[in-house]
Amino acid sequence: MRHEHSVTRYCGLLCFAAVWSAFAATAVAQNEVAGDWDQAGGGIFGFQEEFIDRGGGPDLGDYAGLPINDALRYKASLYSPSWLTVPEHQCLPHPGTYAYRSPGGLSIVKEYDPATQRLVAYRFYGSYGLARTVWMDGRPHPPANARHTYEGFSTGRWEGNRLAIETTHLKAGFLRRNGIAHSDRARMLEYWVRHDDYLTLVTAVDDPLYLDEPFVRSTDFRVDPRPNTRLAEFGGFANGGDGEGFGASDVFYKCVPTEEIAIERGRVPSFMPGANENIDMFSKRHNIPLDAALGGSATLYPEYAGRLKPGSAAPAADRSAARPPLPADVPAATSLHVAGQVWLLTIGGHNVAVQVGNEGVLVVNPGPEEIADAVSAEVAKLAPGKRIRIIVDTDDDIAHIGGNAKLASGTTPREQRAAVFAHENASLRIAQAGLSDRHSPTDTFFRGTRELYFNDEPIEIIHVPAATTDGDVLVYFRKSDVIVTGSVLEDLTYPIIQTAEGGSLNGTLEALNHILDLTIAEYRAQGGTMVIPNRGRIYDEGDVAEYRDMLTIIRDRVQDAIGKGSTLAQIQGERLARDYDGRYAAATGPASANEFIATVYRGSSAK
Amino acid sequence: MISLRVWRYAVSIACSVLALGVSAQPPGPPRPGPPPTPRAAAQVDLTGNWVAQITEDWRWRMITPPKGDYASVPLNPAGRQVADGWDPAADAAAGEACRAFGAGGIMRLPTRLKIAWADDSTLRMETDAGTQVRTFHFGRAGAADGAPSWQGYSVAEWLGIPPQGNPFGALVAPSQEASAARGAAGAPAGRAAPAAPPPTRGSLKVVTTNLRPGYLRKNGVPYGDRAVVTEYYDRFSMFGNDYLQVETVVTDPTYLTTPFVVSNQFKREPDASKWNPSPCSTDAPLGTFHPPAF
Repeated sequence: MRHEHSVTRYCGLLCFAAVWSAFAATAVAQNEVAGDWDQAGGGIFGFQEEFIDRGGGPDLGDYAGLPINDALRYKASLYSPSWLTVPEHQCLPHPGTYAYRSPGGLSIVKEYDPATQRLVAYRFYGSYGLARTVWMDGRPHPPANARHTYEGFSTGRWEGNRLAIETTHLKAGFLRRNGIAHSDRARMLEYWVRHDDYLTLVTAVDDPLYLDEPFVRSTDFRVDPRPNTRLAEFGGFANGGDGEGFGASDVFYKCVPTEEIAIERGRVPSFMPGANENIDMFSKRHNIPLDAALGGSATLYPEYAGRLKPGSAAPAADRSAARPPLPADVPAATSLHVAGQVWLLTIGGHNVAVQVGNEGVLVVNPGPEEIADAVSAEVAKLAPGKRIRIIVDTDDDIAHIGGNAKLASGTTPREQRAAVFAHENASLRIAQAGLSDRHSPTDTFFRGTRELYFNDEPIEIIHVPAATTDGDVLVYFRKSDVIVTGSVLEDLTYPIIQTAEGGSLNGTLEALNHILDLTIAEYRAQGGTMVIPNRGRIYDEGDVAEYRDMLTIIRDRVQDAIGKGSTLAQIQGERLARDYDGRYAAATGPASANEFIATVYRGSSAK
Repeated sequence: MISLRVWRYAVSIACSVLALGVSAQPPGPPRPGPPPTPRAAAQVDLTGNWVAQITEDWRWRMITPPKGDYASVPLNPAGRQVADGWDPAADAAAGEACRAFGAGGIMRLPTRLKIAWADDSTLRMETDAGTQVRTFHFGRAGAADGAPSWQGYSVAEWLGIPPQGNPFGALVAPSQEASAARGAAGAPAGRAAPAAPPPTRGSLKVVTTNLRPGYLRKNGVPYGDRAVVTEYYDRFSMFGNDYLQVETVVTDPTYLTTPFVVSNQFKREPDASKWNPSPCSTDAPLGTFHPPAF
């Protein structure tokens, strides 16, 4: 027996030694990124690059070395730091494109599938930023109309000695904290590579709307051997805090918007064109030519240094042309679960919201008649054996109500026609349009809100007066916490405001602010209430605020120009909305750049 | 039913076989010839034409910053004293105009690079800023004698690609793994190995010593003659562009309190048509110094 134990012990030791030696050999060329990391210079603000930018913050007008185009330069030049006082922006996190520029350390944790022991994901925890997941299990990125987040959706793979990550589905967010921001069309590629005790992150952000070429930068970390690394930050013991939870979370993670200053509802601080007296703050402070300070691709490269020599001519305005915006990737037909009982069907570019429950199916905006069969097919997949019992039309747009007849009729004679709800004004216009009765609403209302209770869920149909028409409604699924906006909120274009049908610019803005009154962000200005716009991807409060900001800022600029005596033609010529045109302007029609400005002009003049 | 005793024996034997097998395993596939040259064993192909992209610390890199602006450099009191006494005219008069172009600082400058193999074990890097030449020697540690120079003596080594998952695989040396991937090591004599694309998934580590005192920034932020510059070179492909990434760690007991760590990227250029050699020179400071306030 003793002999058996010795043999076993000997063999075990031998086995251990072999395995250990093998691991020891790998350690020579360690490349695992998981672990705790400190700033390369050590400590919370241990930055040895971009010290000002990453620490106290950059000056206004400091864009030198950034490959920005004219649209972003214009947008950033009108950025007011007071924008951060808007309630919807107070808790903005640093987006995934910026998060690791923040102070403090970084923890990277591996997550394994407990059954297969395969690596599922890396989770990144950094100060200021959100906990971020990088999926390593080969899953695809979501479809284009899925919701976006500040951290984005990331998938990774090992390429030799580095972890390569691709991130899509980003919300608009800062690249630099002075108004330089990427759009929600940005993508990021990044590499994490470990060398000895140092970890380097290299990121490239590409944004077809705002960057002339990918913006590449790098961030360095070093191994942090301390236990409980995160507790040492900010609110942790080492800094006089109570040490509860993640150190950084004590100070920066728990965020609730407050009214620190009086800011009227719906106001969005922004400089008017030509009014930002601090645009040369960086230029003046450091005696750098303004043209250089305002950045652009040329300022990245060695040739530019020659232009900056004392006594040389002022740098030429070497602005490359903005790249044409990419068309939105609209899938042919997808079903996405939004929240609770609500799904989004996107068919032929049309958003159809569907609530599914025990009682049956409720459809908001069936879409045009030509997609009705496809909608029926998708509904049948989501809710086999259940029939559509309620339809809500958010307005009288034929692109919304065209499928009423087919979807309300059911597929067998025994099936009762579904109830179709709309505001009375929309119903009247449908009747005036000469459509058949089978297209017409069966239930209308005049007062502010129509209440339903269906599928064990309270539902509000909320009239928003004089928005894009006089008959717009929002549909609020209170238990699922989802709002369907109809035409009030577009993702792909500027709003199409039908002034001939009682719509108005300020009414549309009021409707957007009302949506923001209803939405509650779950955490750091995102998540929580989900919002389905007329077309395009799923929104949340942060996205609605971005759209509201856009519309408010353009209105304010146009009003400012009108106040200075500018005519419509002059305002159109000045391209006052050129920072937003790439994102929202349609090629033709009422949402085109000029037509939209004309609508805003008329709406502002009529005020 | 297998008894506990039999089970223990079985486990023991299995462990022994495994352990002996691992211990006796030759380090990689059998190789009839000499080890591959550093050039043949390259983990990453760095050769070509590259241009610096100054997207970070622009104010300290693209222009000559004002005297005394050494924010974020971990200078000790002696280092600050030197930086505060910076006199570019005196440098030029003393034949020290290349202080900002030494190995400790040159990769931060707006410059172009030409990288090529000088021979099978020497990688040569030229910069057009300051017209400097850096030479990376593979496998010749300890040869750092002779007079100190701006670029010092650089010893290079490939950092390999540890296999993922299986710890036993680590017994294959990185260079052998690269050779195996290229098909060269195992190819019978007289038969050409199949061509393989240049690898881009490893790193180059370069350690430079024997340096003349120089500047980390053009405005006289110093490193001393005992400085050691450790660099890691990588290549990345992002959005259709090819980038060279250099992480630089400068340790200096003379003037720094902690290592100074920065990283720089260069974008590949198709040719050398924009190569513009210039002598070492430092323009007068363009900016004015404002101490950081936070």
